[in-house]
Amino acid sequence: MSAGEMAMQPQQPADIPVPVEPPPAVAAMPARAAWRRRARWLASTLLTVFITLAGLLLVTFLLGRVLPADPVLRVVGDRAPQELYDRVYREMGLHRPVAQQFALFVGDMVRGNFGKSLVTGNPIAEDILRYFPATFELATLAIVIGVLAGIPLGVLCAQHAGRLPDHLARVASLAGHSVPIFWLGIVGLLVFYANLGWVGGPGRLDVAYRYSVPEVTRLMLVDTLLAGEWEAFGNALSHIVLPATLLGLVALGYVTRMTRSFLLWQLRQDYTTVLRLKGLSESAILWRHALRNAAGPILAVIALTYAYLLEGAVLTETVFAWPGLGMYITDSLFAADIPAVLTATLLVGLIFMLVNIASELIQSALDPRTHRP
Amino acid sequence: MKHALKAVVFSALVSLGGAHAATPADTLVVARDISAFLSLDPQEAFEIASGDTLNNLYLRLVQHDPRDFQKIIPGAAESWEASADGRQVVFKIRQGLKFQSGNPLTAEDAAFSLRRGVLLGKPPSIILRQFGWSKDNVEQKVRAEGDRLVVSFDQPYAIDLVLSALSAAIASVVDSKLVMANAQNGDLGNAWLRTRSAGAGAYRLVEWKAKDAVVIEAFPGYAGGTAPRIKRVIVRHVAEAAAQRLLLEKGDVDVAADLNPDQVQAIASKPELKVVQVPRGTVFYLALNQANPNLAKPEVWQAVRWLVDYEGIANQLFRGQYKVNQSPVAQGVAGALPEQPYKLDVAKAKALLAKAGLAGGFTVSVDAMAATPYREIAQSLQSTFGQAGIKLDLRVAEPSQVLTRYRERRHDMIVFVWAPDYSDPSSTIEFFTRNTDNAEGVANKNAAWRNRWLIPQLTAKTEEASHEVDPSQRMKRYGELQRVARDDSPFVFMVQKVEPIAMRKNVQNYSGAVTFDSTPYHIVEKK
Repeated sequence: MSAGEMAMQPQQPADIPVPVEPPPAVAAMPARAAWRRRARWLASTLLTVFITLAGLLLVTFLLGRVLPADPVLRVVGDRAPQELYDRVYREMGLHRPVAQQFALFVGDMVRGNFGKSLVTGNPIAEDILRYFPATFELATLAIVIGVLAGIPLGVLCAQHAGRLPDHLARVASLAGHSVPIFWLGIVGLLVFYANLGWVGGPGRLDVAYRYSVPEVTRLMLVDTLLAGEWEAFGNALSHIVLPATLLGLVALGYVTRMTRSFLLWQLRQDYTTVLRLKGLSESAILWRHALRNAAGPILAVIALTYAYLLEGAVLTETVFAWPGLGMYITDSLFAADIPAVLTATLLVGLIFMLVNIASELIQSALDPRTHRP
Repeated sequence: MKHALKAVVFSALVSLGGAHAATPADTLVVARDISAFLSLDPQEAFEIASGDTLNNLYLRLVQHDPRDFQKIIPGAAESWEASADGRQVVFKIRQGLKFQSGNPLTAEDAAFSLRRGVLLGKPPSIILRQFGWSKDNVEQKVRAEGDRLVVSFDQPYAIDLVLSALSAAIASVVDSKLVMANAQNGDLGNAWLRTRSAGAGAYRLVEWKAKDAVVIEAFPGYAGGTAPRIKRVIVRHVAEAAAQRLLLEKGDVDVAADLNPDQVQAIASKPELKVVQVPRGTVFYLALNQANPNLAKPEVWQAVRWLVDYEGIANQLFRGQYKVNQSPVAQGVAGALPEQPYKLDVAKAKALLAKAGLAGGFTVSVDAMAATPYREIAQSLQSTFGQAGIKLDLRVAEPSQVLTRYRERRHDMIVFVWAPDYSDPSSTIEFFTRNTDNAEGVANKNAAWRNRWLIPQLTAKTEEASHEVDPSQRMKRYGELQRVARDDSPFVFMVQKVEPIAMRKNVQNYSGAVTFDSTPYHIVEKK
């Protein structure tokens, strides 16, 4: 199941404790016990990260081996002299037993030696540093759009559950993630770029600006600002706004639906009845109490969606000629460029775990009952 | 801070308001799928995507006339003379040529470059090795003597073949001083040169970002032809054809290289755009593995020739992006046969199958890459073969998997491609008509070997042709060999590629020829 699909699964409300008043036990705990608990949490988290990464490595490595394509051919081409073929075969270590290949591969990974991409010829770490910022920029803007629009929409749906605004918003958010993004991208380009001329076309920047901006962070919006090139910044913005909005729509779909269902669950709780009896308005209950209590699971959904976007949305990247991680991984996969696929997969796994750990930490900061580290 | 915010909002509004500049007048922007761009070392690169860039970064020993591709004109060599026995060619290197680094270009550089091609032993080295050059003898076979480059062979070779081979990218003259200054671990500067340029071509490399863009700019000291009019050429990686079309229509790129038939048709009516059709040397063929007893019957070879809907594939399926070509050498390459003796004729095919004892038909698999045009051609074959009772099982897979299966000879039938490395018929014909050993470990895994077609006599004839020095005799021999490949072999040659290159109307002289490195940027103008 992909992160996106995971994010779509309704969260089990069972792990959301019903708050009435903050439990006092946490504050009273002696400092030593708290430290011990933190250490335990850290150890178990690190162990999980380690096991997951190891599993990921093994599975990806084995998948690379069962692929019925000759990786040497990818490097040397169809018509290379036999001695070149043999040389590369040895250089790639393919003459060794599979277990030994795996051990060597893990050793390299641990030492931070990710090898060279067979396709681009560059060190893979360098490649990833080049492609990831493009994806990071796009994903971050998309999640911001998705959250800023998705949460109010979700609240609106919950407030008017079963009535017209709810249905409208649900249809809209459903459309957001059921229409193929590839198609949406092309149509979006046709309308907003080709016909109306409101946004920039495929690519991150117009050619005219391309060389006026020095690369610092490789995030176009940031680099253009750092260089003080306002016109170039505007151009970069005009290029990113369409793909980011489209991906934002996908995020919006999840966020809206999940926010709505978490809030509806909160609204069925006893404490909201109490609040209603106390005379609070429905929107005060929603915004000030229910939303705060639903923040944890909503945050988890946002984190998963963000992680999913950070993997690089390959179709969006292809349509918008966006040199990002998704395109890099897919190209490498089709080219049987196994070292690049392995490293990038590892990175994606790592991002996924880091985002989840971060969301867990924020949740526990927000909600003392889940206070762990 | 307030000002900064204002500026952000303002510039955002300006950009959203649709301020789209056309590409700068002195810059040519090409949208192209360059995902398969591997190296810019001319003695290593062998990819279609990088061909044009390399041709513009380096001056080759000799080159094709940009306006008449069949004609070889001086490059780094101003003249040449072949010995009567065809075993030696002496090139006189032009005086006063300079590399982009400022170093003078000498005969020593030219010799170094050819030797480097052989010593590196990368895929294109087959072009030089065909002359019998190896790591052990290339020092003697390729020598610089004053301002002359002397190349010699153990066997006679026609001057046409030698010149054609030495117009390929591997014969690019590299700056030996610069390259060797950056050599490490005996790699002859290969690691360094993969992402840089060290040539005397019309352009020098500014940057190459894999899967993003290649940027080159005019070299003011270029002396291999007219001075470049376009100062900067940017090849942008745009994988999606629809995106290429939109960029072209909006004027954000000047040239779109990978449009599909629908898009070419759609832009035909736009007054500000035009399409140049470039016939390429790429030929698509069907091969029959002789390990399958049904496919080893000569009547079956004949039958399948009458079961291909050549016209339908070229004109209906692809609307002119391919044209019928029924022999190994494509139209536009020296020695091509213009005749087209075959067409779809199911009745004739049925009769031939009955003669082979297969009147009831049979089932056989056909491999094809999951890409255009292989998949579409295989589907067309499935339908027409079916009419004669041959049931085709399509096995469509990723290109690298199909290639692996072909080289391991695990196919029955396969739809595959041949693209010549340079404009001479010899390497093409040899790929199909040479095989004396069906064993596994052979060095030359050509098409005849891949399909287990054992042909000692034809191989001997091919061998003789390759050493024929007389131009007209040579073409006659190659004509005969091609007729065998066309009429009496387990290969069916179907179509050749015609590449539509779409561009803005103001782009002049952007053209191309049969090879994939035949677009010279220095003659391109925008007006």
